[in-house]
Amino acid sequence: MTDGSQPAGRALDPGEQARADVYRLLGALLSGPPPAPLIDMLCTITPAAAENGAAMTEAWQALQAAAERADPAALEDEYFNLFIGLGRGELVPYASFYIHGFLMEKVLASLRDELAALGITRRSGVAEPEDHVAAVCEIMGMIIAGPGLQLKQSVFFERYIDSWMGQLFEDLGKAETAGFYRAVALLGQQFLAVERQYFTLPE
Amino acid sequence: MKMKKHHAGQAAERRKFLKGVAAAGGATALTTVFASRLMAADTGGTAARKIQQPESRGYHETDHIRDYYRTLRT
Repeated sequence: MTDGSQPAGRALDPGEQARADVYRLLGALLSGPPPAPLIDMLCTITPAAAENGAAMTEAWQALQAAAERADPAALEDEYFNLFIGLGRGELVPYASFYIHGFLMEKVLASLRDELAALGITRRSGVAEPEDHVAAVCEIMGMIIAGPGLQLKQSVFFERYIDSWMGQLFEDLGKAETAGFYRAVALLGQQFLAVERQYFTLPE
Repeated sequence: MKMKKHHAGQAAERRKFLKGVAAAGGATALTTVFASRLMAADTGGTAARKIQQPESRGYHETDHIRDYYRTLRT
């Protein structure tokens, strides 16, 4: 197995690389409590300034500020309360739940078919279904940056991201137990807005 | 030529649009270190094999087989 990253021979356009990076970062932040080295790195980010990037710049600054305030032990509790909980967390971060109201629903079956065709699978030992928000972000990062993954990004975005993830980020931004993750929610919301606009640009 | 220029212009427009997305200062290193905790490319698994292997067309005559039959007639 590989992580689906780009082979050395093929250079990815910097803009596409940035998109893949943001999806991977969201995947890393949403797959578990962020480890200390990740928080340290977030403290050092310097958002790129751009005319149309003001909203993203604001989101990066908020994430950096949240990382500077973050306490690793508190982050573990926060992640647990938000996404795992006793019985269930404050949020249920699965496409099936947001789209159909139940877990393991049609969207998961359809996603699994797409992944089989793409040659993407869960890492061994991972129990989370593929429609977990972190998994979907990782998959989109792999589709953008990975070699030979042919499914059209816009189709994947429309079916498995835009159909529900915006609502999850909105809920995450308002969640009672969220502190650090409010900044993650802001980054997710602003990035999805950029993505929606990006897919309307002529190819 | 005109078409090529048109595509180059659109690509430049897309690049300009995405300029504000990135966060410089370790963002790339950050994603290579923490990429893909849950998912992986199934390079050795059944899905990948399914993609790489063409569907079997069953028995069909190839030039090699036709040559062989020809040797039997003589």
